Amino acid sequence: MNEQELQVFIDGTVNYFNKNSKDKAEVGSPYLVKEFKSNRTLFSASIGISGKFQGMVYLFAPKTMLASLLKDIGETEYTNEYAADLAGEAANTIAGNARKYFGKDFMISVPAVHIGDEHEILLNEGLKTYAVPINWKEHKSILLISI
Amino acid sequence: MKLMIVDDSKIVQNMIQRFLTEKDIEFAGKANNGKEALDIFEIVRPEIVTMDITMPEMDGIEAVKRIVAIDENVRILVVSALADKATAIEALKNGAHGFLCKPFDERDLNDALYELIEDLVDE
Repeated sequence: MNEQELQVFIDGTVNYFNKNSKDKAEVGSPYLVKEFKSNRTLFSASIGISGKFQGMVYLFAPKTMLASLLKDIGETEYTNEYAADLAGEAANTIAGNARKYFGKDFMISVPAVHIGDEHEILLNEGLKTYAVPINWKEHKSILLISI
Repeated sequence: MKLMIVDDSKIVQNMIQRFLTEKDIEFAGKANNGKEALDIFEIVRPEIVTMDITMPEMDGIEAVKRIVAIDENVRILVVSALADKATAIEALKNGAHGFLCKPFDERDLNDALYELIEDLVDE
């Protein structure tokens, strides 16, 4: 994955927050990772990439961030179920929007969501994985792109 | 006109329902995937459907095909994150009338719905 391709996901992430909230998301400098551990404070959503491209897109976000975003989109329920649904939808939208650049052979799965459990993410060693910090309001989340 | 919402995300279902301001459209039902949409379509018989594409059980393109086979007059707005032109063209070829890319806001949705039913409202 080159810089231009990475930028596609960054732009998609910024656009997602801009459409759903008056508060803009700020994206930190992406960095390469070889391993990543989720923890009990984070909700995670993963999207499998297949077709001409192989890999995964993950979004890790704290419940407080997802609850705040739920409020901004007009929801009145901030349950774990809704927070997980939002994490999945955000990851799905960011990955799906990338097809505008990569084309229809960039195939995406439905999201798989983990609620606040401690687990190591098994990254494909044959692929470069970038972690992209996303700061929104006072919250911090991470987008992992492994393609 | 009755509207059915098809999306595997409850928050997207709720968002579409909440954003609806078009006076000629009333919410009539929702489904979590294409398969469920076919069952609910038979009961509710909506004139308008918003349809996600990436869903478990049956995807939105297949559901569009099958719903149009049941009622060729139904107006379907595909609402999807899949932002490539080929996907939009495929949806339209299979019987959808419009395509709205996620993420969307209230104005985007109502503009797309208005375009979908403009000719019916003006009649």
